[in-house]
Amino acid sequence: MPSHLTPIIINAKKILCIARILTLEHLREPTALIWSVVAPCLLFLLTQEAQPSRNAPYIVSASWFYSYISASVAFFGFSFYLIGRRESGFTRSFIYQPSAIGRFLASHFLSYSAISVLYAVLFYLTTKPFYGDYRITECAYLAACFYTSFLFFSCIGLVVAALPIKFNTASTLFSILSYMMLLSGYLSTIQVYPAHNVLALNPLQLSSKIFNNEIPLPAAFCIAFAALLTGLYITGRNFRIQPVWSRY
Amino acid sequence: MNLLNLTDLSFSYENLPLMNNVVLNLEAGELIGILGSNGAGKTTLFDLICKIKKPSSGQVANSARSQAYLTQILTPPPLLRMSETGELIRHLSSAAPLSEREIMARLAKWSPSLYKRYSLISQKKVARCSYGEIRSYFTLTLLLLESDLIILDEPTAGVDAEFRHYIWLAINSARQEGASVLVSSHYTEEIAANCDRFYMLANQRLEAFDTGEEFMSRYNASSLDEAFIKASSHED
Repeated sequence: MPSHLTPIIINAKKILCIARILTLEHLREPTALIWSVVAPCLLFLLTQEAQPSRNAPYIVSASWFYSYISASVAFFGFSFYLIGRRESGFTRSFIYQPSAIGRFLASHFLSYSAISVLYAVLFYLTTKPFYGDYRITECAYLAACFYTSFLFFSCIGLVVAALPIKFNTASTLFSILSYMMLLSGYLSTIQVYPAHNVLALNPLQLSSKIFNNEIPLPAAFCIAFAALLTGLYITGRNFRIQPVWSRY
Repeated sequence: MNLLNLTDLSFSYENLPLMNNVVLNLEAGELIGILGSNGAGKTTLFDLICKIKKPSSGQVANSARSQAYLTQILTPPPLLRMSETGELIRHLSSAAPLSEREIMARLAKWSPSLYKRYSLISQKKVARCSYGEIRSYFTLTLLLLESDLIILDEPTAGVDAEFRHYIWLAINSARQEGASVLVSSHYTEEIAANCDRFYMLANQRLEAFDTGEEFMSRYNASSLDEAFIKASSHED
C-alpha cells in the first residue's frame, strides 16, 4: 500500500468507527424513534382510515409525511445534536482541533445519512401495505427522495446550529419552524389564504414536489448534496466550540 | 530542547486583563505544574496553548506532534457506555491508529490495579458513573493516547484519594515513556511533590519555582498553602 494513502485510510477507519458509535447513541434514544417514525406512521394510518376512499397513489398520499419526517430527522437529529454536544461541553472537551472537527462532522453526517434512510424505509414498510405490495424500485426511489429532502433540511439546520443559542432556544426554534411549515402546508391545501405565493415557498411543500416528481430528483439531489457539503465545510471552518453558557 | 515556549503572552477578556507578558517553557519529557486560584486564568492559559483562544500579544511556539487536553468541563453522552465514549475520544483526539487492546496492554504495564479499576468503569453506562469516575476515566484515556504533549486541567479535582494516587502514577508513567505533561491543580502539595518544577499564576503573572521550599521562602510562609494564599493575594 502506498505510504501517502496510510493517513487517509486511518482517518477513514476512524470516521467509520465514530459514525458507528454516534448511530448507536441515536438508536438508543427512544423518544427520537417515537417522534420521527412511530408518530408519523400512526398519523398516516389514522388519516387514511378517516378517508372514505383511497384513490390517490401512495406517493401522493405519503409525500407530505416523508417530507415531514426528513425535516424532523434533520432538525431534531442532525442539527440538534451539534447544538446539544456543544452546550453539554463535550465539543469543548474533545472536538477543538481541526482534525477532530473534520472527523466529527464527517462521522456525524454519515451517521445521520444512515439513520435518515433507515427511517424512510421503516415508514415505507409500515404504511405501504395499505396501498398494495412492496416494490423495491419504489422503496429505493422514495429513499432517494427522502435523503435529498433530508440534505436540504440539514442545510437549514446547519444555519440554526451556527447561531449562538442555547439548547432550549434551539428546541423552541426548531419546534416553531416545524409548526410554521405544517400550518403553511395545511393552509395551502385548503387554499383559503390569500398569500398563496408565500405558502409555495414552504420547505415542506418544495420537498413534497421532489417526491411527486414535480422537481427532478437528480437535479434536486445534486443541488442539495453540494449545498450540504458547502454547509459542512463552512461549519467546520467556523465551528462553535464554546457552550453559550460558558464564561469563556 | 523545548517542546513548548510561551513568550511575552498577554490576554484580556474585554476590559479585564488576565495575563501580562507571561513566559513559560516546557522541555521534552518534563512534568510541570501550574498553580493558581479560581479565576486566575489557568484554563485560559491552556486554551491559548491549544489555540482555542488567541492571545492579545505574544507568541505560543508549540512543536508537539500530537497533544491531548483534559478540560474541566466533561459531559460525555449519557446513552453510551464508558468504553464507547473512550473509543470516541480515542478516534477524535488521536491521529494514531490505537486499538483498545493496545491501550489496555499499556495500562496493565503501568499498574495492574489501575487496569482493573479502569476496566470496571469502562463497562458502566455513562449515566451511572460518578463525577470522579468520569474524570479519572477520561484523564487516563487521554494519558494513554501516546501524545507527546499532555495538558491536564485539574485532573484530580473531585477525585477520591485512591484514584488521585493512580492518576499521578499514570501521569508519571506517561512521562517516563516520553510525554511532556502540563498539569494544573489547586492542591499545592501534590504539585510540589510530583512535578519537576511549577509555576504560580496570580495577578496576571506567571512565576516560576523549582521546589516547594523556594515557593514558601519567596512568600515567607511556613506551609505551601500559606504560600499559595500569599501569592494569590500578593501584588507589587
